[in-house]
Amino acid sequence: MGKLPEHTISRYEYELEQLRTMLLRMFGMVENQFSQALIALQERNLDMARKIAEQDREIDEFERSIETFSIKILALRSPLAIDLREIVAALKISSDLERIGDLASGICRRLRKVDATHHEVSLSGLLSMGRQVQEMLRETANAMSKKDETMMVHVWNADLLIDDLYTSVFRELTTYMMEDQHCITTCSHLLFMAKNIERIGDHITNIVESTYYVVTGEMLPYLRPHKRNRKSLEKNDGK
Amino acid sequence: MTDDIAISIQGLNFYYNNFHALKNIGFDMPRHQVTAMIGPSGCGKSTLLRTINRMYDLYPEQKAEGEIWFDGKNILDKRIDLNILRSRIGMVFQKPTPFNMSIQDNIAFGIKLYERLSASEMKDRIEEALRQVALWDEVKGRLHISALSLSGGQQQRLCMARTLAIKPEVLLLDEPTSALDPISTARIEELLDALKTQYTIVIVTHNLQQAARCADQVAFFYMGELIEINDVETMFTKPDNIQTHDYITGRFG
Repeated sequence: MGKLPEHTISRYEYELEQLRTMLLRMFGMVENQFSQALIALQERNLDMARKIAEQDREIDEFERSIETFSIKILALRSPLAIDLREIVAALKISSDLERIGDLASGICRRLRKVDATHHEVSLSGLLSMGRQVQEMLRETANAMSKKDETMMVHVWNADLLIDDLYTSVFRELTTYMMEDQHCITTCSHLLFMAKNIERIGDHITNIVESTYYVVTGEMLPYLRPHKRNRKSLEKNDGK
Repeated sequence: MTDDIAISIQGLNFYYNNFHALKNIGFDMPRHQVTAMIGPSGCGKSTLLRTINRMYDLYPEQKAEGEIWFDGKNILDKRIDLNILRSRIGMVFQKPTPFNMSIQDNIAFGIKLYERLSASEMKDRIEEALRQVALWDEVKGRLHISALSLSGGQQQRLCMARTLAIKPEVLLLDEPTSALDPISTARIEELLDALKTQYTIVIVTHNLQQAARCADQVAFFYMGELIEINDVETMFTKPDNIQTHDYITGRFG
């Protein structure tokens, strides 16, 4: 969809713009939090990890203010069509972002429990998963601000790669655990971290779906049902 | 025309003298559904509504061309009996138009034009009509008082009762709630929901939320043209046409 003309009510236009800005700012915060979490992980920097985990509260507050603001617009403006889609998506995206923030904090909290002597175990697999997810986050933010459908579909597909990476990290870590019982605790924590990163990938997928819906009015999963089905079946284990 | 279609409009053009008010309109109104017509003032939606029961016949400078099919006949045909047509296609206007007579006489007045009923039959028919519009409980003890003493919302429901008492098949509503408060509006909308099991309803409204709440299908008109007709959900979440889109989101010129 090309550039839309402005609303007759300029205040309404301004409010929607404000909502977009809030959402992108929250996105930036979460992106930053996750990148820092990866650095803390790589350097095993516990101090940094603690600080990152604390940012969580700020992100929670941001989610609440986006929620309140969206409800206000819904109540006062009765938005329709693209405006309605955008506000509903803002509600969903902010809650996905909040979850991503939680999961990133979770990674940082676990870092404390990872035994330094075993820290090197499979860190590379975890980090490459993390970098892949980081890239997805960046592309999603880009696609969101440019309303670029092709980029959205691209990110959406990239989640399959994360799932594959997760499976290989899982195998690697379980192998370590079988070989050396002393690293079971550390490996379990690393496994949970990997799971967190994989879950972040899922939330990014949700965000892309919401964004795609705003721009096109279509739901993404219906375009490629087979792959999605396969994925959702696998996801049902664990959580 | 199949049984599911109550009214089928085909190639309809309408003129006020030289002004071309409706341009080659064509669409179907499904039976027992609510069709809402929306669009900016002067777009032709009310004109179209008035064409469906030949209201324009009163004015020599107004002319309709094309076809409006209803029960196997073209409504625009000169040979159509307008009295019968208007008993089968009833209309309610923007402003309540009660006659300056009692509540019961308001309803009886319309019935007497078409039917000869005994006093007890008439009494039953009046009660039935008032119950249909959920006005009975509010007025049952005072059917003899003047209709003009009722509130605006009650007057509008009385007008609907008057129309329904004649047992039409189609109900045309021209902005029926624009002069009513939210409670009365909600009562009328609730009514439409109940009535559509028996009637085909066409409503013209400026209130998009009302169209969203009441309609099954929505038609958007602009400058005498039918720009888009769609089911209500698609119309308000993802309209096909960019002009519709700009209108319903408040981005219009």
